[in-house]
Amino acid sequence: MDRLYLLLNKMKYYFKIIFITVIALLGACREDDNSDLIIEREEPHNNDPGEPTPYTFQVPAHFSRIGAPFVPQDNPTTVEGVALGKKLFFERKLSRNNQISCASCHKPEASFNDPGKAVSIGADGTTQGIRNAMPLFNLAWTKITNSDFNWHGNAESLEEQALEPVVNPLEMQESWPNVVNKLKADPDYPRLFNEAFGTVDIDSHLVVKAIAQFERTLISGESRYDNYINNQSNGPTLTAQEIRGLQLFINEDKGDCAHCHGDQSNPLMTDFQFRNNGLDANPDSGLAAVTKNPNDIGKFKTPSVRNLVFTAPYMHDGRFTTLEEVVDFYIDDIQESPTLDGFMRKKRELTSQERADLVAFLKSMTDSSFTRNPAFRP
Amino acid sequence: MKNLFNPKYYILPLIAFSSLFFTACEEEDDEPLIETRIVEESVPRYQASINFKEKVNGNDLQMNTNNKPYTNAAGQSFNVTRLRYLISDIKFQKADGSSFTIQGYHFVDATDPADDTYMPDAKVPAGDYEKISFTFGFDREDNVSNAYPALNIANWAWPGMLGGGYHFMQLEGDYDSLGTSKFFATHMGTARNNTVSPTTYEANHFEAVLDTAISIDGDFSFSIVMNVEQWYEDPYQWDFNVYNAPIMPVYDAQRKLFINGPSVFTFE
Ligand code: HEC
Ligand code: HEC
Repeated sequence: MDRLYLLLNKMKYYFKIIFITVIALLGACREDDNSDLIIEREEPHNNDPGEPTPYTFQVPAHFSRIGAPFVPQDNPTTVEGVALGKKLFFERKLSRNNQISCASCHKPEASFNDPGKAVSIGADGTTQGIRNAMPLFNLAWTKITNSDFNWHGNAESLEEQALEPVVNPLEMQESWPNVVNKLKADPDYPRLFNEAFGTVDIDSHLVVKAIAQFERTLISGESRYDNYINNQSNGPTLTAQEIRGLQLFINEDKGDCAHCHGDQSNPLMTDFQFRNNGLDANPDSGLAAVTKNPNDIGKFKTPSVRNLVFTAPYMHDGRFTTLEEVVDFYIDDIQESPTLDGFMRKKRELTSQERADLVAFLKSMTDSSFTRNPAFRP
Repeated sequence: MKNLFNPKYYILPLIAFSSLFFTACEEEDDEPLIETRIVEESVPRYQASINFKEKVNGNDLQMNTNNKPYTNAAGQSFNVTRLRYLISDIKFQKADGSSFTIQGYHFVDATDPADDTYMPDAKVPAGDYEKISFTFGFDREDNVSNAYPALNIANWAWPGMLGGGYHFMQLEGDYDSLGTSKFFATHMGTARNNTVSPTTYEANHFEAVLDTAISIDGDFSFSIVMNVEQWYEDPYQWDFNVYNAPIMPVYDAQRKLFINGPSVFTFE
């Protein structure tokens, strides 16, 4: 990012030279592209499906404010990989007795969350988890802020994260060797793995690579709020009440939510950092379970405040059923503890009208085109 | 920065344009662009490596302490729980008045060792320089909302209703107020004055001058030290009870940081 900025600055002075260079380079690249195209059109020989096709992310225009999504070098996103990843995401064979899939707890119609459940239920239908399932969208930007995955940041990549639910006794309760055998015996998977990764030798690492590719394509940024902050767009925007709510969300002397949850410049509506927002006087270990640092006790990943209408109940343990309760908590009920974030150690004062405005604003960040997107359905 | 182009007008097309370039041609990277820069310069240029240090009364800043190890000029003890800040356009000035500026910014999160060192892409021409200076924050021309992805994603924007652009600093901690611990958040950015009509938005960056001569005849390094206590004492004695949090919308607090700022930085 900094590099882009420096580049822009240089352009002030060397605009012309660069312009010429770029045109020259673009010309050079175009030849490469053509040769790629020719290779793609070749008929696959025997079992060789050819190179997979690079996938183009569908990113809303105003997401240029936060730069490109992060894709790890050892797992480039491809059309074939994403298609395989989607099939695996909805695949019940990933669980014991083929009972549940990732999508059982991450439902596309609910912004990939498990609505109505404070904590999730495992494959056997009875085992209770300890955490509220997380919605899945805009995950491809998590690593750009150096953050990690899950509420307490115990997975460093999407690939690593996906290894865990399969074997977690609170979740899918299966073993990887079993999953791999089931997939190998399936009539479709060997071909699909071959198309995506050029091998029929399925293993857990390829499974999670494909799933992670699919997860990175889950991008949500088309709500009325987005129309409002994205000046070029002309869809329906915010009502007067919602605009008041937005101001309260940002104002340091009012809601002061933006320091943690973002604003117009950061359409992700989170910076993914781990913080203690004052839920408990004796908080759960949170991030400290990973870092072993007592300064991290009670810190959980700041979630995006998008698509909240789909994802109740709220917080890492699903303790609040409504957004009204959440807002009341921030104003009336912050619990002191040694790691409480500074932004919480001051009194917020909002009238009942202002609280209603704030809730109205939160609800305006609802992206139904995301929850209805056929590309994200099985 | 020079007023050749206002970023407002070209930044979006440029981002679109350069992203086209990057995606169209990944292997090439931006190396060729960097080389074109030196075309008309014959003086050799050298790599700067600039370190950022934060101190309180001459000792390295200790963050997240359980006690309040520091005392401001008003006699209030305090600690520091967060310190993030932004500098830009480091300038090398010669005795004859000519100068060379490293265009660009550097963002420092004092808890992140990766931010301690800034290795700008632009190399500095050899020569004898009389002093080094830099902009604390962004000057008016660079302080353009939405323009810098790495700052946007760090929630570093300054609210539009306060004039927009970016935060210059977030310095936070607890102070002792008659036996109770209270939070302070010294956030700095554009100073909105809504006591006048129409409301004005005053640029609040300042030039920090490191009064030190430097001869550059090879790759070189130096440190910029932020002496944290100076924000709160020179010349204006800061009272945490008057300016704790929120101060972003408080014009007087913003201007006092502007006045106290220039003595905060020293060369090492
Ligand atoms: C039984 C319900 C359940 C199943 C099945 C499940 N998850 Fe989750 N998922 C959760 C819960 C609960 C969390 C939060 C876990 C935590 O923080 O400890 C979570 C967190 C995540 C996250 C972290 C998101 C973030 O922003 O950090 C990702 C990614 C994810 N799940 C993907 C998957 C994938 C892929 C699968 C299938 C392989 C899957 N989940 C299966 C319940 C489930
Ligand atoms: C200090 C940073 C911080 C501030 C300021 C802050 N939040 Fe949060 N917010 C968090 C964190 C951290 C969580 C997750 C806490 C947990 O579950 O342990 C959270 C959770 C939430 C959730 C639940 C989301 C979900 O998916 O469960 C909502 C809604 C929310 N915040 C809204 C707000 C609003 C509205 C404000 C302003 C009044 C606000 N927050 C201010 C850090 C913050």
